[in-house]
Amino acid sequence: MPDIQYKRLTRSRMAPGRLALAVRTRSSLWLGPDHLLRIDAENFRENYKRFYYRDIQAILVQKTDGFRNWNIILGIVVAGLFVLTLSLIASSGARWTSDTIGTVCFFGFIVALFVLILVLHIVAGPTCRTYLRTAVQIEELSSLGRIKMARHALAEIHPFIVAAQGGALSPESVVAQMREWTAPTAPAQAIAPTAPAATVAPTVTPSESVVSDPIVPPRINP
Amino acid sequence: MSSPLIQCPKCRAWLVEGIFNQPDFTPCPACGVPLLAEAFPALFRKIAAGQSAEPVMVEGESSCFYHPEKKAVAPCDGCGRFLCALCDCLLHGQHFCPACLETGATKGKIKSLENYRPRYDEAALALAILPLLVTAPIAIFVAIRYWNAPGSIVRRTKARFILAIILAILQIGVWVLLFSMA
Repeated sequence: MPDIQYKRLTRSRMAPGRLALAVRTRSSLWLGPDHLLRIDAENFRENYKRFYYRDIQAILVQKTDGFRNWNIILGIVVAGLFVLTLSLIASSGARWTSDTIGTVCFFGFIVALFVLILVLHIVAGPTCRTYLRTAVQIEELSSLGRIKMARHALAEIHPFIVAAQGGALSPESVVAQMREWTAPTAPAQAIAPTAPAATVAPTVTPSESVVSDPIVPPRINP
Repeated sequence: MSSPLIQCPKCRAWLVEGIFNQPDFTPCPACGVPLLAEAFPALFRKIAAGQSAEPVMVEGESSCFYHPEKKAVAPCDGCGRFLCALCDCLLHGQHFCPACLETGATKGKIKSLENYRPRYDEAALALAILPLLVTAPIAIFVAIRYWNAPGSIVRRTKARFILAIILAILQIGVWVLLFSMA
């Protein structure tokens, strides 16, 4: 079987929540001819997960507060370091020794580094979490952590899914199909409460096993 | 999971109809978190019921290898055994028996079932970078031993192996120089 050609969709990105396990896990997405491939690379092994375009039911992008929170944290760090550097300059006054110049240069470098991180963070844009749903699973696509990136990826994947599933859905058709799906279940739900609970519950004799709590294993009643 | 209803990933509330396939983010009706939800026709597709195997009705009719009392519907494309409707697993237009599927997945014979690969090139590179006395020869051994082993499913260059060998040779050179000077 010839090897499948893949097109890179996202660069590999640290999967959230994996840092605590001290395992270097990075996730990336690749476009295949009939499926989307997620690669989770940890240490010296790559794990593959394929999402076939014909099976993808929905993609959900949830905006998160990470962008705002990191802006605040990085802003405070940059401001603090900047004030520290200024106070060093002010305390040295007119006497500039090699030690003072070295210290100011060091702090200036640290400030510049954090400013660069802040600028890159702002340029990358607001953060999000992206989920992909199929008939049997809901998977997080951790490499799509920025809204800009998620929108770009969605635009790339969309034509493949539409081609595989034979068309796209408009907001109106989603509404119509959801109503159509939920409509036949309504009478069944209406009937359900009429069944008397007392007749359904089994009568427990003293010698039988008793399950009062579903979490607790069954026990023999003495 | 067969229901087309989708929950909000944050508050687990059922999402209402107006949220789907909108051009921009729409707040969740329960928790207010902005959501962009794209639904596709597969969401409303009814899942076909699984086929049940038919019993052998006529004497001499081909039967399933795994269920001799059931009628065969197709031969396995992997091993050629006759399969009933229950044992017949269709994968990319090919019929496989469960045993061949398992073998294909574990031995990597069926590419679409391969779900992991070891990265020997990265291991060799990591060993070559690690400045310990024994790691450089091990890096060269790993690079040569697994030169023909399948690499990543998406990147198929030997660049890491080559880089690992070069770095390991350089490292050995440095160690030899250090020992000769001491």
